[in-house]
Amino acid sequence: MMKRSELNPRRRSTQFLVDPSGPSDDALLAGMAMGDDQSAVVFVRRYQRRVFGLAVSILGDRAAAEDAAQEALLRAWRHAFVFDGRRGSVESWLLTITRNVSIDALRKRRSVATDPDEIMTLAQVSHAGATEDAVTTRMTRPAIVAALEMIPHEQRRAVLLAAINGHTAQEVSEIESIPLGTAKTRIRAGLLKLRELLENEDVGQR
Amino acid sequence: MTNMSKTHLELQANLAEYALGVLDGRTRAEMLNHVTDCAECTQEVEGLATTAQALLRVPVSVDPPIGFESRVMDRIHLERPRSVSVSRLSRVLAAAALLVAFSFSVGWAMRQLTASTTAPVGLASGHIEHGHLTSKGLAVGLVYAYTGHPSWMFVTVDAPNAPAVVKCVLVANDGHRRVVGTFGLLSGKGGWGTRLPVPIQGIRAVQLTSTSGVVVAQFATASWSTASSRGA
Repeated sequence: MMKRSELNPRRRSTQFLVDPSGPSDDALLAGMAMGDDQSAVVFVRRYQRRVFGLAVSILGDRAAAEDAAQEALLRAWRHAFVFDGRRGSVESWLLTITRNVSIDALRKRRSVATDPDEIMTLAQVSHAGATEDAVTTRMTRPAIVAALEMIPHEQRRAVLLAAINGHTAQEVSEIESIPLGTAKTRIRAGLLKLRELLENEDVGQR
Repeated sequence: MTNMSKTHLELQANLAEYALGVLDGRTRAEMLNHVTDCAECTQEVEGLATTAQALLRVPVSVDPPIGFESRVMDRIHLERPRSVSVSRLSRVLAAAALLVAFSFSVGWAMRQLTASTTAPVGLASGHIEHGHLTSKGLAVGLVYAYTGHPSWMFVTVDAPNAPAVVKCVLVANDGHRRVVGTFGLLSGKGGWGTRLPVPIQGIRAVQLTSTSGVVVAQFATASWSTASSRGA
């Protein structure tokens, strides 16, 4: 954290031409709302890996994922001025946009989304998240993956099919060859269990 | 069991799918009507939605193809006005009714969630500063200002007792006051931005006033903080 004396704008304007820690997401969105080019560059640079990673996970195709990721970031730029910080973080907002764009693209292509077991396997072997989550929230990426590992496999698949690939309960029932009621139960039970686990600080310590 | 409680239980069974955003339009509309009036379901869906959003972070981050950043910026440039145009400001103003102050409930600490995954980045020619607009000692909004060129300012307000229309006034170091714009608030909430006609270092305070000139909220720029993603 910067010292109070370092926050004097006159002093900093000559000492720190580039803020090494980067502006906050809120500040970047404010800049983007004003059409500020540099804010957009920093925002894209900050989130491009996350956005592209989610798009690849859903679409399973790098070319299609690039189109979706570009579109998601463009939509974030267009709508920066209506972002509502009380409804979640900037990251959640952006990833939700990315998911929706990717799912739309998937449906247009009539392709099959990546299997949730594959998404989970990649998440388990990747340690990238550990450095991306130097955060104050308990919902760090490793904690989320750990919580997913703790729920039954069939519930995990159902939740991921809905949460990431955007499948309805009816679609989950068809993909998993199970009755609709069972699909709904798996989604609900899995998500409730995940919430309970993530609210338990012990998971975040794993 | 009454019909009402049956309805509640039936709809409650859809809460997870509602939070995940995978219901069809009709069921989603039913859920929206119910959740709005049901405190129990509202509380449950908020927790489930937070969990659902967190799940989007499960897929691994992947380096995009070389040139991705440039291609995104090219697309932005195709839409981006050459300057902060009237049309874009109009969009900002039109959106003011929808815009709520960014950070009152979430807090700056949550912003640390978004630490950069690559080398540290910053704005090349300046900083984004921020500070709290206050009224009678209470924070009622935020002021963001970019110190580079061109410099700009963006204000978000959440002041229930504020008038429907406010003026934004810059107070220079020499005490000279300059009205830089007027914008509307809906139930005390709104946002507005403008390019700064003077260097940020020459501004002593930012004030919001009623149309008759009564100060509604203000911020002294001596209290600027860098709107940093870490340590803010």
